[in-house]
Amino acid sequence: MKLKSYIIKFLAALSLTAISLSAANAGVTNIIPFGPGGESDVTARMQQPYYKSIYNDDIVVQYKPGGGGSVGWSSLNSEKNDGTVIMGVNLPHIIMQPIAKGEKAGYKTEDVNVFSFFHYTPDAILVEASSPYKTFEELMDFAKKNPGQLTFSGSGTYSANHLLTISLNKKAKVKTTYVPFKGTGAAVQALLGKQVVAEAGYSTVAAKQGSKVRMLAVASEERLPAFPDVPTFKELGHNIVSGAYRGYALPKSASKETVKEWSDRIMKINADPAFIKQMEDNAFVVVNIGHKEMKKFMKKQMKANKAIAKELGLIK
Amino acid sequence: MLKLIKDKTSFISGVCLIVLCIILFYEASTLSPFGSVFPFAITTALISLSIILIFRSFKLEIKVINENVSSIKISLLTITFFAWIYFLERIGFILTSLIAFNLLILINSGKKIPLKKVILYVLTGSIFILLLYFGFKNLLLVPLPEGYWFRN
Amino acid sequence: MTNIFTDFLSSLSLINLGLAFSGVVAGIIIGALPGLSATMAVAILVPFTFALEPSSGLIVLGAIYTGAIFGGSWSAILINTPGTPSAVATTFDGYPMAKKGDGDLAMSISCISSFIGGIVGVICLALFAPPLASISLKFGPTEYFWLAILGLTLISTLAEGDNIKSLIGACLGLLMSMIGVAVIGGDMRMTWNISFLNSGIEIVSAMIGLFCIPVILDLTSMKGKHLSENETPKSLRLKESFLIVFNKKFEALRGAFIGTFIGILPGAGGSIASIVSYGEAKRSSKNKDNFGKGEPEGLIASETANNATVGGGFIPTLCLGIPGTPPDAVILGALLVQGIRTGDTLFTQQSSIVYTFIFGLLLATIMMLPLGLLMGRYAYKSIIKVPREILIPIIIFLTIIGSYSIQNNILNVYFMFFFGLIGWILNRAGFKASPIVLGLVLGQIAEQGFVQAYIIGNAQENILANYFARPISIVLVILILMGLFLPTLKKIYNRRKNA
Repeated sequence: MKLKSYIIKFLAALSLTAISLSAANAGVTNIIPFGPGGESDVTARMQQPYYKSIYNDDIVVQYKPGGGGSVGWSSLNSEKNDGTVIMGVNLPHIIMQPIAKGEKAGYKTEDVNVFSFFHYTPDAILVEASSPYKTFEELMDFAKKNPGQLTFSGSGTYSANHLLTISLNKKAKVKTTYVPFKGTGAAVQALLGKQVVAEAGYSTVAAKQGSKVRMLAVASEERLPAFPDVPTFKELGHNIVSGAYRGYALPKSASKETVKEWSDRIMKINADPAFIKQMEDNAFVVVNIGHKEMKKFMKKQMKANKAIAKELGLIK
Repeated sequence: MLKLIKDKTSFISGVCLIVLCIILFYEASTLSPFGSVFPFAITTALISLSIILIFRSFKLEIKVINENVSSIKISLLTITFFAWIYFLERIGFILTSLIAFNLLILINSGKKIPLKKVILYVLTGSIFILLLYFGFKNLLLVPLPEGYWFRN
Repeated sequence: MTNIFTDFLSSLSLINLGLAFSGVVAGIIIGALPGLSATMAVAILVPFTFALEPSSGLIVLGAIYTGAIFGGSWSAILINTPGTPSAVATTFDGYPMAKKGDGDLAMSISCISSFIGGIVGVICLALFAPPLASISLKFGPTEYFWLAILGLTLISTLAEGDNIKSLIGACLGLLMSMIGVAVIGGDMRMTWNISFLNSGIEIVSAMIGLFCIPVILDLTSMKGKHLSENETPKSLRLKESFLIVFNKKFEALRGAFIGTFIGILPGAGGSIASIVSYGEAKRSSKNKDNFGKGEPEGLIASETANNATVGGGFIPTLCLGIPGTPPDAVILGALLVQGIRTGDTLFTQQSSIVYTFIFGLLLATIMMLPLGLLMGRYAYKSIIKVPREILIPIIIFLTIIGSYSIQNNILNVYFMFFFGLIGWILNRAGFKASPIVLGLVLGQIAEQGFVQAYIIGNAQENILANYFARPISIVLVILILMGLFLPTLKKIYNRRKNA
């Protein structure tokens, strides 16, 4: 009996030392303010191998979900500011949340020190593969003849998906019904199960689902390389260019050099053709907005989103 | 009046629940049409059940079998537990845990345990804590709090 | 068909076997620690899988997943705390068994049941994935609503004597599930300016608080040991546990099929599967009065169901690209990064990846049986010996570090603590935890299903038809009515007979 307990104690001590030795890891932390499996997570993981091969260091992805991202963003400025911690940020979230929720959001847009946006996923309208509507015009035809009967599934209320249908209603002068679901997965499920007529989602849904869905229109400036046959809303006559931008931020107190350094790092990964191809294959649109362009870009976005918020009645 | 109530626990519970329902009704009235359907429905069900409960408490008592509790120990435990959480981010995970953990051993031991055993518990407990701390921190990559009182 | 054979062989490669083995072991340990969920374990391992072959990566993730779901039963049995949310119904009978001195029996039964459930789930995945996936698509908001109602009717079976308080408990649980941003309507409900509550009540910390804190508080006042030891601790009780499960083989299989079926419905998951299976077992059992006091049937029902959701959950994940359970969402992300497309192409063009993975998962599940029994016996023996004075601080420590790790946020720890205190007070007032948890887990599904069905029905200008005139809904409504009225009808019939 005694020998056994000694062996156990020895093993315990051994494992303790082994574990603390593995503490000698460097690596930078990328905090994703959402749960695992979403677009922010997937793109962060796509970057991991490229970062490793260029900078010989690991990006460790951590999750801090809650409040649609607000839990993470409100704690950003209490993280280490020496460049070892970055946090994922999303547009329109970081603009719309403080507008819609005021103080309850827990942070202000100005306090989020964004240094780069590296891609965006344009909004898109999708139908299921066996749907009778083969083009966007046919879908709108149905909507015009049957007001209220065109049901769109989408994720959440007042989310990008919801806003897309509101824009569509206005610009195409139709009356559609938006059915909110919890998360993109549930919205896609409703589409595939034909519970709704169409989905207001992102282009990434089309990439993921392949031949099971048909993307009828996409809200990007130009057609997506992975989907050359899908017209943009602009081409169809409706000026809808929208989607979710994703990027990273540092704590506000980080130095200008740290900001520049990180912006360059992300942009370098963005320049890698293999990375670009991987992103495009999955219907992500690579953009290169680094710290230099950030101020102007954010100003434009603030203006555009404030206008939408006014239309929705979120601000007076 | 109090003597008429056969089941005091149920009566008090019922009253508290009714107060809760009133607050919830008020909140539900500020919600959008879709967002208020369920809150209204469930709160209505709850208030009806609470009223039934109150009436029932006059007529019969369904006894709740509870363990006997020593209020001193429970209060000490609760306070230490809370303090452990409160100081986690301030003093840092390791320090707070070591202190609180061993304090709890002392609280639970009372006077009956010989000193030798207590020391043994303190030692094994501390090793256990350290093991899990490093395991969580380095293997599972959980950023356990460092303690901002010390981070100057 | 020769392909299948080579896939089977590649799953037996040394690397894959090693991965399955270590995955199961790591998964069991992680699952046993409250606060660490299968999702978290899988999420941490994902980057390491990028260096592996896609099928090998899937195998290790699947092994951890299934091990964790089983491991959750350990803390459920020993300290009444579900190690993972899917083990919630295991506490109902597992913990009473442990208190009676049958803890080792409970752990062995749990292992065998998890094994059975896991195997059934994987076999369904291997043989019936595409047809089951299309069945899951037929479940729309209406069906989810009726399914949730079916689950809620189990309150009456879960009630232990005080029906009114159980119903009140369920209502409280339902109300709690509404805290946060409403999916439909977008309102912020019942958060009272606490931004932490914006995304609702976090279920893992809520369960830790609700189930573990009362145990801790009661333990402090108790004298003597936490769990009574069996008189003959040396005996393995393996034979006994195998016999028990074999005698209840029908019940075990039923639980496994319930679990697989609920697994194929995205958004349901292990916790709902274990609760529904438990309730169904209690409803149709001859020993229903013994449920809640340490009835092995309840334990079997819960553990077969939750492990079956592993295999079942992969069906919509792999066939539709829609995650069946939260860990599946992480695995999907990992697949995407590796460039693997889910859907029909996965089963046709890249079928070797899928089938190697399925065989690997099968092997991991098979390995879980001896590993789980061995590890379980060792764990049980060590924990039984731990004196109360040090056990309580250890449990408290685990709850703190566990709930912190959920979202790396100290607020979860505070929440766990206060929720637990509330749960303890409610417990002492006669409101048991199980109906509350039931309401909490099913609330969102019931509400969303109801309102979405209304919106869609309204758009189609035929609301009632959307609720009732759908084939699957009709079946569900009949089951609900049967469940509600059959016992009463039976009583009346018996009374008439005896008169």
